[in-house]
Amino acid sequence: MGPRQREVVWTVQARLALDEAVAYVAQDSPAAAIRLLEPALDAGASLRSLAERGRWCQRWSTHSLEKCSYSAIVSCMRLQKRTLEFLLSCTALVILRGGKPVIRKRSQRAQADTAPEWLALAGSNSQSFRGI
Amino acid sequence: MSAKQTVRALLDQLPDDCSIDDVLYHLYVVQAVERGQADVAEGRTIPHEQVEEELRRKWVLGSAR
Repeated sequence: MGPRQREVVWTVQARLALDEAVAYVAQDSPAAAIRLLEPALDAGASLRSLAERGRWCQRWSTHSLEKCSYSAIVSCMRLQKRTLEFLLSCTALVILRGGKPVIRKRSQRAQADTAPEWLALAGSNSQSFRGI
Repeated sequence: MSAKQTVRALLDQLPDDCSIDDVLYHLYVVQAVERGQADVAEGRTIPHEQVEEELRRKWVLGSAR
């Protein structure tokens, strides 16, 4: 494992939520369900080394949660239906283990965070997390 | 934070013109995150590789058959 590589794990809740979301979409279109699943899995895999895809936060506030979940949906899933947001919001919950701390400068609030470190899945545009 | 406090805090942060659907959605998110946190506390986590393998096998390979 490289210096900035981390182990990504999913909570049982998050895995279940993603599975349910895919099942929901698959009722109408199996192809669309796969188009939903693949970016979610790819985003999860990318968290091993691309910590900037997410925002660190140990304690979730409703405010940050809202923005994180919306960012995850809009950026990763390219779907904005409320039902999917409803089902997919908790796929944002993955945790990272191991590796070195993120080197780039983070906000004071983020720096105060300690392990276990929570990461909200976000899109490739980390700018969307500014100001949260 | 008690459940009532959580709900109050949630309502305080939502805009005045939010809908019932908005409230229900955000309550669901809070609940889902709490369940996820409980999973972590009790060690119920799954390596990403395992999640990837299981879901791809179920949905990608399953749909190809």
